[in-house]
Amino acid sequence: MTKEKEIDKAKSEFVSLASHQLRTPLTAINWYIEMLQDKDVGVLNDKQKEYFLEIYKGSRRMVDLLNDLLNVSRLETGRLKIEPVPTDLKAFIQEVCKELQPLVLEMGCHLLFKLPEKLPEVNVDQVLLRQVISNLLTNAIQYSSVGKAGQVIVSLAVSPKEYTISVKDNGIGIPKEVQGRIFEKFFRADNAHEIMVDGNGLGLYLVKQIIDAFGGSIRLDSEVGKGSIFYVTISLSGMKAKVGQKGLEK
Amino acid sequence: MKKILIVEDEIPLLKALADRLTREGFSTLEAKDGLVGLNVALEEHPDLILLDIIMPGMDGMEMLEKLKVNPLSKNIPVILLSNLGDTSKILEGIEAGAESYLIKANVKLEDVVKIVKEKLGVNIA
Ligand SMILES: Nc1ncnc2c1ncn2[C@@H]1O[C@H](COP(=O)(O)OP(=O)(O)O)[C@@H](O)[C@H]1O
Ligand SMILES: [Mg+2]
Repeated sequence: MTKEKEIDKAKSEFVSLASHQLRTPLTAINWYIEMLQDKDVGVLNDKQKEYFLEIYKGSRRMVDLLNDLLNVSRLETGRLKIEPVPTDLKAFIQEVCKELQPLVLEMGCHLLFKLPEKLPEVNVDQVLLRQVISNLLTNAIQYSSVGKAGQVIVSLAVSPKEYTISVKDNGIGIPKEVQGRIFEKFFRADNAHEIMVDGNGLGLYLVKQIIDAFGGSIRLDSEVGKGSIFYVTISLSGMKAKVGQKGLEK
Repeated sequence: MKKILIVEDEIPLLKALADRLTREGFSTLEAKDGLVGLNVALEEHPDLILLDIIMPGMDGMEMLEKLKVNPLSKNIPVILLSNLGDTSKILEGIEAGAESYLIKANVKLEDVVKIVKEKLGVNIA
């Protein structure tokens, strides 16, 4: 092993350990916040509820950040395992969208589908592809539904060789000058900061790492004030199993 | 009344689980490490065990293995509750005979209650 790789490995092990350590006190915070809202232990007044909601949101963000950091450290050390299984892509996409229903409701967004009727089964690693779709969708929902009801369209197109999943929104868009940078670790565009959507800038970095590991490609089309569309293309035969040890956090 | 054994070395988490499950109408038994947990399990025959993995002394995986080789305890359903999220760890737990594996930081108490009720076949509201 080269010196550089050794350092990388040590760094990543540290991140992994630190994240696990942080999870325990965070779990306590989350669970007790949850219990404070249980009606059978007493009722909070509206002001107190408002304060607790903020604490809860802050601590959920921390959980998300830790999960993302763990995933980044796994992806970066190449310990990732790819396990493709035959999958009904249409049902799978719908399932992932359903998991995001709470966010859709909270943001008051319209989520639409353009999925072909009948599809052959495709070999995909479900844990990893779920992470890809869910990150793209979360962005589309969050960045389109501030101050208005956004619209998000998820489509799937299949050709003999490959399939393309696209996620389109009518949100704030991404300025041309930074479109090349949004896949960088921790990068966030100024217009995303301005509308006060919580984020850590790790989502698209993870997406890109996963797609690269699949041997696929991602591209985008976006205009400020109009919206964005992300296309993910993966070869039907391309997702090869890769031996590794660790999976991702959801 | 169904009896649940909680084995967890982090006191605030142990207390939270016991508190919430008691309010749901379960009776709870508590243990702070695997060795005590194993003894309580064999003496009290709980209906279900919530089991942490990383604990001082006997850890959760070892306790699970010991439970599963003993005819007196091998049929008690065990739910692993851990903050280790590696797929390999999860598979190891399931292969060792756990009913399910939850990552503490990613679940609400409400989810824990739901899965406990599901495994015990009690009324799910
Ligand atoms: N659908 C979108 N609409 C507008 N901007 C987007 C969209 N998706 C991503 N972005 C921009 O790319 C940046 C990086 O995205 P991401 O890595 O998911 O981080 P985060 O959402 O946590 O900020 C975002 O901060 C935002 O500036
Ligand atoms: Mg994001």
